[in-house]
Amino acid sequence: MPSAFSVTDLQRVRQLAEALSAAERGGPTPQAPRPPGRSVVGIIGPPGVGKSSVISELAALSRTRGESVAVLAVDPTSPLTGGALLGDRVRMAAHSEDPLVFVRSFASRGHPGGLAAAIPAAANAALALGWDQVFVEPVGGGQNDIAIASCADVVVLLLSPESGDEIQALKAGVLEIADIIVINKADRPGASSLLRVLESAATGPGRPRCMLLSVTDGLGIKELDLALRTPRAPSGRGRDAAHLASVLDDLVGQARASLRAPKAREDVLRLIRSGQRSAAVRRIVEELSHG
Amino acid sequence: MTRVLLAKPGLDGHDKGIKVLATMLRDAGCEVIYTGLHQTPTRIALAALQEDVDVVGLSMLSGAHLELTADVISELKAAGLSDRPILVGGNIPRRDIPVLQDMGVARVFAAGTPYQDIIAWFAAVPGRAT
Ligand SMILES: Nc1nc2c(ncn2[C@@H]2O[C@H](COP(=O)(O)OP(=O)(O)O)[C@@H](O)[C@H]2O)c(=O)[nH]1
Ligand SMILES: [Mg+2]
Repeated sequence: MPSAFSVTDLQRVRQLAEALSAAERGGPTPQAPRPPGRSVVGIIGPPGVGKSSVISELAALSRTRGESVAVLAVDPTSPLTGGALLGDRVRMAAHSEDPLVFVRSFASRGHPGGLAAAIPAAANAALALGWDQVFVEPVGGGQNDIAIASCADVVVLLLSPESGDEIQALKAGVLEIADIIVINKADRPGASSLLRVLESAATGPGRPRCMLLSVTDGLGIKELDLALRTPRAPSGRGRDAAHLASVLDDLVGQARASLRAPKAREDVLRLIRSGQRSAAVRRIVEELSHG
Repeated sequence: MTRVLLAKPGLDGHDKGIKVLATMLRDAGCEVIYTGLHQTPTRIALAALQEDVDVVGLSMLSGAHLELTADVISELKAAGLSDRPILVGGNIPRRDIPVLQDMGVARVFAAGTPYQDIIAWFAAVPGRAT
């Protein structure tokens, strides 16, 4: 049976596969100055919000323009066993016979910040090898996603109508690094009111653009794709990695300091003990803003 | 770190067994890539290449295992991955086991094989020369 793929395509895929494995081993990888018009897009957000589904849709649009696509998806490594279940390919099944939609699943292997240690080198290698569009999907989670800002040109924060409760906690770090905030699953109730909340929260220079999207109904994908391809004014504070790191350190420091108040500390510990982690986070945020 | 691709080629829609296996292999310390139902040999080979896995595991309950396995092997070969061991599991009649082994399948785990035996096999997979 002859292969379904052309020799050229197979070579390209193999070349990138080897480079990504080298990145995982910490070995040398192809690097080149980032070509104009090519970018690394980070898609962050809580687990199950639709990151993989949205990437699959965006990849489809890239392919209609003849662009090649590399998707680097990170899932958590179990700290107990060192194993990992990597399931993001399932949501990208539409491309599973297209060699030029390259999907590599990474396990975080204990690396903090929602990425695998190899991701920055892997993303650069994909661009250096001529892949047009690179998507990075970090481990789903709130404030853990900050690391993406240092390796992506554009960061999209995905939320869903159910994310309302998480916004308070997210505000601190993640809203700062997002260039675009997308409310996915807009086919469900609550999307427009969340949009209004976000639009009023995201103010000031370099504020993120907010938009609605529904993969299920096919709404908003073209708009997101266009927004990703529209050059942005460099948005100062959010994209400046050094500044970001210092803001983050500062916030973590403030959070720690706020817990020196015995009352706050007691409240937070009580919430954690009773399994209410997000309530605990809200309590810390409350202490930060009023304490 | 053993990277494993678990795939279900063919038309049967039962993925309970393969999902249990995926979880057990994760708990045994493997990085397990699961690709979903109804995979074609072409998709499996492309996924194995993109993911650079050490082992390809196929689960088949439909009865078409001989054909499907032969096709997967030939696609893997075309993708330059003949060196990756292939495992076959599922409803495999005893008489077909030597046939599969002759094709180059590293190991057949017929339905009813204790998961512990499968895990033990993985524990002994030699790391690929890098
Ligand atoms: N109702 C609805 N469900 C969606 C939408 N987008 C994705 N989903 C579903 O949300 C679930 C999680 O999607 P996935 O892309 O795996 O999320 P991830 O964990 O963020 O990568 C899947 O069952 C998707 O089918 C959407 O726009 N509307
Ligand atoms: Mg995902």
